[in-house]
Parts: sequence; structure tokens; C-alpha cells
Amino acid sequence: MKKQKINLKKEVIDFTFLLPAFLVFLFMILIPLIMGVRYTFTDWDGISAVQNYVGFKNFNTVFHDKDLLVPIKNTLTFTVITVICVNVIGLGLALLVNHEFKGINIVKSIIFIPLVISLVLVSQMWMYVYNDFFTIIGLENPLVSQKLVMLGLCGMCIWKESGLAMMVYLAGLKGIPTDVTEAAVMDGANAWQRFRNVTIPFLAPAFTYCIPLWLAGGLRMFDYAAVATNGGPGSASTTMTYYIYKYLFPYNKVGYGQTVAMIYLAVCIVISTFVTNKLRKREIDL
Amino acid sequence: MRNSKKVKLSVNILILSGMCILMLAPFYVAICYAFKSRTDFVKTKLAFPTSLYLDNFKEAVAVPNYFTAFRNSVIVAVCMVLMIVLVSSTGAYIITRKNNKLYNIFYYIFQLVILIPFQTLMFPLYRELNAIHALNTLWGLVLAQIGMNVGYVVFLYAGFIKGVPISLEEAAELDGCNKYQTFFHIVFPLLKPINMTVFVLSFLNSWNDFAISMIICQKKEMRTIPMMQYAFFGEYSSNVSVAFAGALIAMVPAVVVYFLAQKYIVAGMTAGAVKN
Repeated sequence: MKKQKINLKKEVIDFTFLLPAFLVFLFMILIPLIMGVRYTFTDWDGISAVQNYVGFKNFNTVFHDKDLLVPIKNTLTFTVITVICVNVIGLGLALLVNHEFKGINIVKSIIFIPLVISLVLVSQMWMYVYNDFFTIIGLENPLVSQKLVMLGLCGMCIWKESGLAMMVYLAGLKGIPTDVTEAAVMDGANAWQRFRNVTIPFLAPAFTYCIPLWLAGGLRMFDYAAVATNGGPGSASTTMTYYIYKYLFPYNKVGYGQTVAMIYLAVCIVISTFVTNKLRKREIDL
Repeated sequence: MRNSKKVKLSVNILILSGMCILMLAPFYVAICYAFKSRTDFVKTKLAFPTSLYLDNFKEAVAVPNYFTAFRNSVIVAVCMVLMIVLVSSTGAYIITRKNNKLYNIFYYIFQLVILIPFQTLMFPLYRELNAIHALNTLWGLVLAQIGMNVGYVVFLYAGFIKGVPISLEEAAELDGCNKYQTFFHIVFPLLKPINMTVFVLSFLNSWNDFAISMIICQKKEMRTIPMMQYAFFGEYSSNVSVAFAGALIAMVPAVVVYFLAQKYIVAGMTAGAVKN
């Protein structure tokens, strides 16, 4: 009996360590999540006191909503392009800076520096790069073109974040033992074979880290669209998160907007978890 | 053989120099515009500024609420960083040391939190904060930022604590330390590298945050720096130079932190990406 009591006391003390983090999770994530699920069954406008229960009507609307196709397409475009470009450029840069020569640290610092600038400033700087510089050299400003606007936003993201990918891949490259590379050279492997059979397998954890990171980041993209284009021209750069924002705040259609939000939340978690698990499995095979 | 190596190195340096120019070019636009008077700006646009015109900076700082926004950002970032270090280090510590089913479930949940887009929960969060009178307050913003960052920071701490030997803690407990003393006197000092990483990353996340502050601090006098910057470019669209001058001043703390703590940023962001 007494021993049980002591054990219980110990368990309680242990739990107090988790308590602050748990409370943050409870109040900032879990309660909003439950409230959000409740809104999906109402036609609430977010302001009035009336919240009519409408059953699954919102879900029905969402699944038949053709307006959603544009933000889905935009989000996928942004995610696919940034995941590929950031990782390819990051890996390429990592291979280039993985040599010791004078000034290499300055080079790394410069490539990394856009990462510490706020997305607001990045968007604003690029608005003027596109608007003033691009027109001087005879290119169209992508942000005012329906067709090119998503590419314009991708450009900002690639500029800002390739440095981070470079650092992650560089850490991976530094982790390759030199004797393995030397053995491959002795065995007569050419540069491509060494890259394919030595470098890539050793970089597997870096891929498992980077690909889901930019995947989740792409699906979450909000600031560039909000600051640089307001989702426009028209709705040509409205991403899923910006679409959700428009329905929740300016349009005051909380019932519908929150339904899209909850479905999207589930989709993001499923996609990211699925891809991470696939990559982890591959990592073992390599 | 030697020659081809030299050629390779030259090509390498050439590409990297090009990259550096590409990385710095947008900053040139910001700096160039910030140092130009209005007439110069209209006439010469992107040409190299011939004289340093500092009135834009004076005008930017004199904008009402600029200092309020700066102060708000400092308060929020400092409080957020201190609290997230405390909350996440203790949480990650007990999760790692218990390593049983219950605590692993929490670990898993915190990892899922990383994946949540803020916009999907922002409206209920907005209502909740409104109900407890935390809307348009700095502490409300601090709490929301911690909520959005806690998953990632717990993940960072847990990864580090797994590598901290447990024997010191056992010795401390034999010496009669209680659990809290053991953590704060023995374990916490050992976490210094990861603490630094979390300090820096969380500071930058908080300082640069736009999406969360945009919802929670909409009142003019509660704005943080990124909000202010956003409003600047709207209100001063006819006078871009002032807006860029304001933005450059706001960028200073982030850049200073970056140069002081570059190695911690890199260490934290690349943790978990290397094969053991």
C-alpha cells in the first residue's frame, strides 16, 4: 500500500515535467481543434450569436466545390516545384562547397543569409525585383501574370530556402567516411558511380529529413501569397491556406471555411506521414 | 590530372560566385532604394546610389507606432524564447527518460503538431483567445507562437537528450537530489548546445512571424515588426524608400543574431539529418 503511494507520487512528479508542454498543447492545439470540428457542422458567420446546426451540409458543399480546384492546383504546383528545386539546388551547392578553399565560409554564410529574413521582407524585396529589375532586362513581371504568378512565388521560396537544404546535405556529406570513398576509387568507380553508390546512400537520412520538411512547408505556404499577391491576380496564386483564410476572415463564412480547414489539416498530416514513412523504409533498403 | 583539378576548382568557384551574387541581388534593391531621395528614386530607379540620403531612415523611425512595434517584437520574442526553452526542455526530458507507452504517445502527438498549418486552427484559436481576453495582447501572441513551435522544439530537445548519459542523474539522485534539482542543476547545464540552438531558432521564428501576429494582434498599437512592415508597404506605396528604410532597420536584430550564432542555427537545423 505504502509502496504504491510512493510510486504514485513519483509518477505525479514525473508528469509535472510534461505538464507545461501538455497545457500548451491542450489550449493552443487540442481545444481549437475540437472547437474547429464543432464549427464544421454549423452555418456560422463568425460574428453573430446564432450558430445553426446543419449536419454534414458543409462537407457536401466542400466535396462538390469547383472553386477549390484552383487552390488545390496552386498548392500542388508550389509544393512540387519547391521540393524538387530546393533539394536539387541544395544538394548541388552542398557538393560545390564541400571543398576547402579560401573564403568558403563567407560563401556559405552568404548563401544561407536569406533564411533569417522575414517572409514579409522577402516578399516585398522580390516584388520590386520582379517589378523593376525584370522589366529592365526585358522579362515580364511574373506576379501580375495569371500564368506565371505561382512560378514567381516559387522563385522567392527557392531563393530563401536553398541555403538551408545546402547546409543539411553538407552535414550529410561530411558524415561520409573518407575510407569508403577511397575504397570506391581504388575499385575503379567513376565519379557518377561513386555519387550513385556511395554518396546517395549516405545522404539517405538527409533526404528523409529534407523532402518532408519542404513538403509540409509547401502545403502550409501562406505568407508569400498573402504579402506579395493577395492570392491574385484573380485567384491565380490563392493557395489552400490563403483560401481558408479568405473564407474565415474577410468573407465571414466560418462554417464552410472551417470545414475546408479541418479536411485540409487531415490531408496534410496524412500526406506528410505517408511520405516520411516511405522514405524511412527506403533508407533501410539503401 | 593536376590541370583538370585546377579547372574543376575554377569552375566551382565561378558557379559559387554567381550564386552569391544571386543571393545578394534582392538585398541590393532594398538597400539601393532605402538610400535614395524621392526624386532620385523616380529618376534613377536601380542605378547605384551616388549619395547617401539618410532622411528615409529618420522618416521611417518617426512613423507613429514604429517604436511601439519594435518594443512589442522584442517583448514577444524574449518571452517566447524563455518560455519555450523551459516548457520544451522539461517535456522532452521526461519523454526521453520515461520512454514508456504513455510518454511516447505524447512524443508522437508533438511530432504531428509540427505538420499542422496554422490557418487550419487559427479561427477557433482566435475565438478562444477572445474569450479569455488574450486577443490583441502580447501574452496571447506569445502563447500562440509557443503553441505553433512547441512540437518542433520538443523534437529537437528529445533528439539531443537521447545522447546525454543517464549515469550523472542516477548519481545525483543517490546523493539525495530530488527530480527537479537533478534536472535544473545536472541535466539543464548539459543541454547548453541545444539550448543555444533553440534560443536562436525560436527568436528568429518569433521575430519574423507574420501569419500568427496578423490574426492575434490586429490593433495598431499591438502590431509587431513584420505587421508594421506589411502596413508600411501598403501606406507608403508611393514612397517605397521609407518603407525599405524601415524594413532594413527591422532586419538588423535578426542579422546580428545570425552572425553571432550561425553555428548553432546550422547545428539545430541539420540535427537528425546525418547517418549515425
